[in-house]
Amino acid sequence: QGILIGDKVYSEVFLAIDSSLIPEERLFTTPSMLDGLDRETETDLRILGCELIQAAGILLHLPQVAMATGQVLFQRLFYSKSFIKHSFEIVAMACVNLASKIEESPRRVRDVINVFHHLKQGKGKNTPLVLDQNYINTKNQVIKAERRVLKELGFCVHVKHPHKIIVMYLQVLECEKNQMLVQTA
Amino acid sequence: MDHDFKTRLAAERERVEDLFEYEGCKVGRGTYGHVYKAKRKDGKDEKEYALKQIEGTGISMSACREIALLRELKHPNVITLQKVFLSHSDRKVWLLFDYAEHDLWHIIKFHRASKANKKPMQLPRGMVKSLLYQILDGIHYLHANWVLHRDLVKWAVYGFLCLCVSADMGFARLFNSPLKPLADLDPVVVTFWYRAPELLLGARHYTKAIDIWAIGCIFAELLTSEPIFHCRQEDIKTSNPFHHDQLDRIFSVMGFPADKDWEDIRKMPEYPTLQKDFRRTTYANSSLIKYMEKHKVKPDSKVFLLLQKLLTMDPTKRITSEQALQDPYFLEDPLPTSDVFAGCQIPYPKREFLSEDEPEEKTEKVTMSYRHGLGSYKGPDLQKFACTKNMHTQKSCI
Repeated sequence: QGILIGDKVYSEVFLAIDSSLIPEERLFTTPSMLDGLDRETETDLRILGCELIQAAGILLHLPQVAMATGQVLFQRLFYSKSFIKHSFEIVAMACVNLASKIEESPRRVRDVINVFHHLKQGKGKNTPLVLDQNYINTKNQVIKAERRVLKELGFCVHVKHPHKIIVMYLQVLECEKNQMLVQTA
Repeated sequence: MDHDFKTRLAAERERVEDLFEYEGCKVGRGTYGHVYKAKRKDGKDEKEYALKQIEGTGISMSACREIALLRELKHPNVITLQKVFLSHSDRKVWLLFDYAEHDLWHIIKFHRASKANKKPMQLPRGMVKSLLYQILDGIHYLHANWVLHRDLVKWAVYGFLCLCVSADMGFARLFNSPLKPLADLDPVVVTFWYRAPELLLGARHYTKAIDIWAIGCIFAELLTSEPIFHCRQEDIKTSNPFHHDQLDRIFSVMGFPADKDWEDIRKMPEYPTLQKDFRRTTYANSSLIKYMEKHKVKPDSKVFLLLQKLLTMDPTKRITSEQALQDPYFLEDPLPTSDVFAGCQIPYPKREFLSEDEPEEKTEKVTMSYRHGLGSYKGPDLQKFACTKNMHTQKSCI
């Protein structure tokens, strides 16, 4: 099965629930852990990456679904690549950029970098980003990282988010008025 | 990443130009990029492939959406994406598909041209049936998976002629965004001829029923070798969905819908304009029965009955792809075959190669030439290439 190109056989894609769930053994020994990163730091980096994606998305006026997609892509990538070898910041930028395209509200790489630069400065400071060699390098890295994400996920980037379904379930259960429960969900 | 690792990776990475021979084999070009007929260099198989180079560098939104969608689709009548090449040096994206020598659009054009030249050639009825069955089968798969494109009106036409609707998701956007004027595309493709009446009356949503109407139009055309709702070309850049001449043409074939046939017509956004511009009495003498009788299709035949169900004015009453597949027409002899050309000669010419850098002017001429029926088809789109891939090869089915 699959197609032989060069010396490698490329498998055909079969998307089903089994192939979109990450098997347990890969959840417990992640590529980053194999590179010597401890679990806590990895979790922190994942949370930080996702928070950055969320904050950047808000500043870029992206629809919430784009941030959710970006976060899923970010999480998925780091189950096959390691935080040691790939800068989480660049990957987060790439994920925002890619998710904006997937969800049909594309943003320029430049805008994404600007927003991340702003976020990095913290409260109160607001120096604009200088367009120097450093910027050009970052931009190239983001573009490359985007391709890497696509390649690593095999271009399977459509994410089905549970949010809508949850709302529906809550309505069926007549719990949609229970604000706390809805928001926890 | 360290330097050694990078060099090692670069050496390992497969490059499209190393694996495939495609130089001088360009068979299509358009706003989306270039399509080549390709063969593998290592000779592991003699199959022909279609290689599509996406226009521009980097991954555009349309490319991204197209690839992501194609990855998820798997059906004998829907184009299969074999592989994606990301070229590192020039940041180009290449897609590898199976190649198809003939496509639906190609076939329709051929027959239109033969009719225009006063040498009409009928499509064999068995072939029409097999074609229709496969189109419906493909559409049914897409519809069952809810692949359809919301606000894409112009695309409906385009996608259908190409049979591989799904694969067009990415391009869909191209038509919507005025980056390049629509006139750049094949002028015949971007017509209103295959648009469902509800779209012409301002329906905002793209539905499955709209796809079915387009299939009905194509079915009629396969039977008669002429576009059923043929209409003078108007300014295609217009953003107004209401299109007087096109509606006039539809009514003069079908007759004006009776109130009971399409109750919701009153709710259509353009209904007031319709009332202002049209009189029911003008079309009192028209009906699909009369139109098809002129083309020697009997009103009690199964062919006609199915056509009538596909070309139903009220979208809510229009048949679904699933129901259409169960139609008695497909149970009657000759049964649909998996090879649409089964037992007939293929009169259609093979694809011609385009020169690498054809000047704009020449492209114009080409367009003109096949509009005048010289039949030198230069398909602007890959979907058209790949769509018939299974007409020949598909073994199991039906």
